[in-house]
Amino acid sequence: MWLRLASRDLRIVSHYVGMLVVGIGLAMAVPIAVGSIYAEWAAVLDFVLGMGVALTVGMLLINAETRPDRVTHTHALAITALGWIAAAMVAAVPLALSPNYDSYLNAAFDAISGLTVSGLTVVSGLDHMAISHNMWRHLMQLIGGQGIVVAALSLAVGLRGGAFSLYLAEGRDERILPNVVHTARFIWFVTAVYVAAGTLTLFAILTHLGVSLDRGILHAFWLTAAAFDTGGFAPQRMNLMYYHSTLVEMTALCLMMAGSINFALHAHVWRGARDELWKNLETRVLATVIAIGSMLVALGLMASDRFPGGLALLRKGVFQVISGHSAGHQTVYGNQLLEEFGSIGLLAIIIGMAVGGSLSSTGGGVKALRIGVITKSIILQTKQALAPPSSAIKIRYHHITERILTPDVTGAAATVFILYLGTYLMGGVAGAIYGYGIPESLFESVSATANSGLSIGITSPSMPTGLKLVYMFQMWAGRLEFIAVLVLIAQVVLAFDLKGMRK
Amino acid sequence: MMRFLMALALTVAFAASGSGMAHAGLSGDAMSPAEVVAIDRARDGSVIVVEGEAIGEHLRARGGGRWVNILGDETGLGIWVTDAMAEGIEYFGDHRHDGDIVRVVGVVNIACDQHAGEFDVHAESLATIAVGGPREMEIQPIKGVVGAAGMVLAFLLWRYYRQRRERRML
Repeated sequence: MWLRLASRDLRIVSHYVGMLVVGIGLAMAVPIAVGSIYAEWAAVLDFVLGMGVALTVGMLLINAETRPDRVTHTHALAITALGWIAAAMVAAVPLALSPNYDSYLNAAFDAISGLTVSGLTVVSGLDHMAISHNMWRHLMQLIGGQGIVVAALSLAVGLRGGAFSLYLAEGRDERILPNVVHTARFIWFVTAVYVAAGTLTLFAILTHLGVSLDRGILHAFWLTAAAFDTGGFAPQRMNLMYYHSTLVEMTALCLMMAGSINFALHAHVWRGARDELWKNLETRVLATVIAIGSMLVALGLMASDRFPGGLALLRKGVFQVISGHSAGHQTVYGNQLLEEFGSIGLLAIIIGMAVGGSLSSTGGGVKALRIGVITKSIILQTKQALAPPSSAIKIRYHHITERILTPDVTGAAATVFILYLGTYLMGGVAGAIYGYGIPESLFESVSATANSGLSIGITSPSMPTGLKLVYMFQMWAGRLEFIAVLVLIAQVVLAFDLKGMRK
Repeated sequence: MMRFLMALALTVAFAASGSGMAHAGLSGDAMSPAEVVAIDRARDGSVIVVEGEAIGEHLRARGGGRWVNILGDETGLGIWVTDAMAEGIEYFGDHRHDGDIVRVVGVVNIACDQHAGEFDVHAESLATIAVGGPREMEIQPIKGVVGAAGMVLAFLLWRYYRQRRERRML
């Protein structure tokens, strides 16, 4: 039995998608204000036009329904899937008007990458980009990292029920506080604290390095937003290599790790339950994968016989492993991943990106808890096979509370795992079809789907259009963890079933 | 010593061949930053000549000296220079300026021993071959007109929405 979206359902979905689009339009007031302060009038006009387009499109969509009913689970999935696309399409308008993007497609690529906190970019002349455009790129990561639906929920704008469905549809699995609006506000509160702390720390470091006060505060805010929201954008083409500073890199590393942690875990630690950090299956899996990955990358770098000592291995090796799990900030050039890291190091980073961060964090990928659950399930199956038929074997795990592993939990984790794996491979095949090598294609595909943002060099303004579209789909589907996207595709297929429509 | 003599010889040679080249952009006899990043690994530690636009600002380097980042072919490269070399650069590229085009003769390090694994070039000489300057950004008022019209239309649509909703609620 399929729940088909009827005409009224589509109007309800349009109404809420319109609200998200209006929200993106209103957010353009920030770059307009920043551009006005710096007298960047050419760039300000890009945003005035962008805001005009966003508000008009948004209001047209809102007018589709004047008294929307309660949002159902199916509505929520459709709103989320379409809302992210619509938001990215209007967010791309000011970028497309800037001289830094050759086409609307390139601007849309960066808008999707920014909102999904992926960090892959096809920008040109980034080092000459207007401050207001840079502000917009990083603001998109700040909004997208928490989730555009969460942003709307935190304001509780005109919602008639169904908030939790919307929250879940955006790829979040846990309600942190009893009230979902309070949960959304808590997520923004945690973000505000980290962003404030990170901005102040980086500002102090950057001004010590010789960056001017105004550039220092802007760069500090942008780097913090990109690192905590596991986005990976940076205001300079060289990414973090621009600063030549271990302190900048280590601060970004701490922010990326904080952003990769489940917001529910943040809540428990903030309430004083610090032992949750060590007991939680999710953090244990994440720590184990990072430790193994770091060792493998260190081995790969040492085999190249070029990297001198522990600090170099930390800055260039371990940093890339953790960055692969989270933001995708780079401290090495893309071609160095092939030249210096060796096959084993490259594989470790690909696996790190594929695993990603935690559930209900700003990170992407399969997520550590699912890997832990699948691993526990394998152990359970093995134990059951070895035990007498009459015995009842249970496996427990700790994630915020003590839990017993059930077939439902395992099945859900395995489903998402298979969807990610299939998408990783699909993008890898697409890259190979366009003539790129298998390791490079797989690397970039995993990076796009897991919203990591590390690039081995394929992603550029001149990459084939077809591959841009593939990566855009991967970033979108990966951010929403596929289910909302699959529901949208199913609804489109059902809409073409004319026989069904007549009924 | 050999490296210094090689660098000196290269600098003299390029200075002789490059006279009158100001504002000419990159010359054909030097590498771009993108070419340096993709350099044959066997040339690690060798003296190279690279040209690019100085961008951002010069930054303090750990243990002395300054970092100047240069840009070419959409790739940036860190150049470790003396304080005097850094001070000689007039314009650094940003949203308002084109940076000076500089030519650097120096030693390329794929993973620098002195700077904890940085991919860098240690400059032995740095010369400005084209002075940068302010960038002009063309203002297109039509964008503002269309944007303002869009906002007015959105406001009217919002009023229309409110009216329809109130009518349905009655």
